[in-house]
Amino acid sequence: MIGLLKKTKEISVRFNSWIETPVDPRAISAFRLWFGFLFLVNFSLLWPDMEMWFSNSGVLPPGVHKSITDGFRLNIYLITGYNDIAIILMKILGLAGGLGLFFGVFPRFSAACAWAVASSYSWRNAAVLHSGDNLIRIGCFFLMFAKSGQRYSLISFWKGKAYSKTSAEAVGRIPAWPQRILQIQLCIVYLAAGLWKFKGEPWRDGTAVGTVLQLGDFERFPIPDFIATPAVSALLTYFTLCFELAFPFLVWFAPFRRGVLVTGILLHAGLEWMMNVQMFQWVIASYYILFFEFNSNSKNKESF
Amino acid sequence: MLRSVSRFLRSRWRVLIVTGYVIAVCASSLPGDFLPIKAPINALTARILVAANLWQSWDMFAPSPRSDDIKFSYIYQLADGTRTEVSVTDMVSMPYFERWQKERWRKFFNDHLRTDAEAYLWSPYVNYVVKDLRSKSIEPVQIELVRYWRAAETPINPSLRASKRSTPWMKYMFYRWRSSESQR
Repeated sequence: MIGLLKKTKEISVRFNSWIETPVDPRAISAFRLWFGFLFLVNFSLLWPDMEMWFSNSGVLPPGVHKSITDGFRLNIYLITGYNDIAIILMKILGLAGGLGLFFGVFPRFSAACAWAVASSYSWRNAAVLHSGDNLIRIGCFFLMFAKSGQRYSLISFWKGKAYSKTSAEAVGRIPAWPQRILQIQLCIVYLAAGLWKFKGEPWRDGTAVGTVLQLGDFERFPIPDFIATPAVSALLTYFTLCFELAFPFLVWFAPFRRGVLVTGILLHAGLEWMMNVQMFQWVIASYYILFFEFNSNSKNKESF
Repeated sequence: MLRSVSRFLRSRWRVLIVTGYVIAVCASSLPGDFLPIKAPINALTARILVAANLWQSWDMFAPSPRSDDIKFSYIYQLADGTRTEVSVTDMVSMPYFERWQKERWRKFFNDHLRTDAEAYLWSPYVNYVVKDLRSKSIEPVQIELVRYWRAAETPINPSLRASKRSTPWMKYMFYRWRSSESQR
């Protein structure tokens, strides 16, 4: 019993230290840059249809929207009401937020703009959302609290230290908790997705991927014939399930980290080729950057 | 006592935020069978997650992926009886980029508007289509919303992928709108 208490206390101390100890800014800065780019791509794909999805004369007029929405959510419509000026605001703030994140200009304010936009369109018409939107909204929220402009930004570029290959000590350290929360968020995504899949018969009998590959909704680029066979489809089904359930645990152990991340990238690249799912693979893969360690001269075994 | 609590909060607020967030998100997104205390935690935290737009669900293709091909069309009829069918979400027939760009169309029309459970979307959509057609100087007297479906055949086979197989589509007209002139 005493041993268990000691072990619990030891884990608690290590967890506290993991959250509290400042980190190298390069991982979150690189994430912010790439994430900003993906936000802009996602937003540009949404742009041509914004009037149709979100305007008062669109497919979801205010009367219908009111009848299906409840609960308080922070978003631009709280200020504008059901007014199409919200779309103009979203366009302005979305562009400013995306560019600001990409270039690292006022990154916290930019993240706030991007989060406000993603939150607003999510509220106004949730029927058009894809899973990538969820990850974008969450990523923007926690980037509001991160010091992500320290590297790979216009300001650090002008200061001449945007891409310097120095040690973490030399580049200075930043609070870790926003990065940690996003790392854990990625693990929860995989864990939840894996557990939900595990509940389904097609995932347990190995036919799920085969069924999805038959559907026109998701068909994308041509694939070799051998993939569309029961044996390979079963293999891919079990591989997906195992990967999603294993990632949240293995990624924290340095000896497995590189292998897990590379496997994940290959999985998402394969899905991006085979399946027509707009931005999800790109956005989820962007979270992998948060696990990179940039210590070029570190003796730390966890170095990526 | 208060001073020590305040000192603890000041020194450990980051850990508390991370821990609280992890518990709240696990409770909102993990299946209940794997987390028996999901409901009481959700009762405390769900509103906060929703208000901050941190709500989430990760049940993509789960527990069971859909097993039907789906597409959606509308048919408009002019006063002279001419009928034109406009395919909205026949994803396989679209070029690669358009298919990718219209992912949200697939979501809205195939996953939501098509279903009887979301019938409240039908009338607003038809009103939108009427406005759109009128802006192109087309005056419809009748519009029908039509859903198509066909089962994805198993076991999987390269010749049975959606772009190759010739399984016939089932079709159902689920909503009809007539202009007030045509009703007279």
